[in-house]
Amino acid sequence: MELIWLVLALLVVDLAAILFAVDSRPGFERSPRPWARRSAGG
Amino acid sequence: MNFGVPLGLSSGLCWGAADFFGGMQSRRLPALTVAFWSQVAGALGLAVALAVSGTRPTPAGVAWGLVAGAGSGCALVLFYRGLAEGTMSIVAPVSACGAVVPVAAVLLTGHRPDALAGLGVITAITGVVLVSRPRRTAHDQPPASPGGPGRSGRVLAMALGSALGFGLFYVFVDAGTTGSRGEPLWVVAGARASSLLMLSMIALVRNRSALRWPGRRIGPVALIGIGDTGANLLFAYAATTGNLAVVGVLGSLYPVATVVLARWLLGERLSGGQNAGVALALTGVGLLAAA
Repeated sequence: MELIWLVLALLVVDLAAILFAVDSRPGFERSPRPWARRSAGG
Repeated sequence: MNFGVPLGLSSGLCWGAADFFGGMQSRRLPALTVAFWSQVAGALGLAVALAVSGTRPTPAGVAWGLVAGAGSGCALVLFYRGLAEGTMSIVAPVSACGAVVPVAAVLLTGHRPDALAGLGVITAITGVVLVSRPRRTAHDQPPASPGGPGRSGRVLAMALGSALGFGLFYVFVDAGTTGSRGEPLWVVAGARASSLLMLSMIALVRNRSALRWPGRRIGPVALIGIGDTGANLLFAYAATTGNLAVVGVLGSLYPVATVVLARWLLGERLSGGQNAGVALALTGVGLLAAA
């Protein structure tokens, strides 16, 4: 029974990571290489 | 001479420094990129350690490791993103409160944790509540911050999510090492394999570009993973040579290194209540490690 709770908790962490995996911060959502754009922009 | 104390302290310092620089790199790269490539570098270090040790895997130990890694890689993404977006001096101690999870797991099995563990849980939770309170200015107004309260709430959610993931990692690794008598290195290797698989799957579903080669930042990112794996090995060696209770407490104090680095290099400052909360959270983690 306790294993079910632990696996459910594991799924919560995985779901949270899926939700937060895509960075919505400026410069992160489009370019996979933000450092390149930063240096190009001076 | 007993090397348990210096090795335990070194493991805590390595973990804390790796976390700090993981958060720093996640301010420049997507957290998923930092987590994935640092884990790859750490896996290479682990492969070397496995080759040197010459130990043999046990199927049950590796299986529990695979389960443990299903949460730890995801927890790392949440942790790095929390460190990148929030105040490191708060995110690191809150995330360390994952030490509460094994106590909850004991309760789920119908057993009662000992008094020290119970005290540790209460102290850690009180600390988390205190650091979660918004910092107020002299005019009793919350300070203006990019994103406002919504952002700080999101960061706290990420820190708590990472705490849950790291706590589950402790539970499953313990099941693999103590319960199934698996070789610790192979249990961790199983965890590393499944965490890399999980991160790859998340990237395939949400953002494939997150797994791209991080370019010239691969050096610092790789050092984070190697530092993390090195800390694991230092801790494992310290636990075999020293008193496990003492070594466990020293290793569990890794957020102290992150907090000190954040204050020193980033100039982070907390309110009096938040400082008390950080101290309480760290004390709770120490008590849980000693229990």
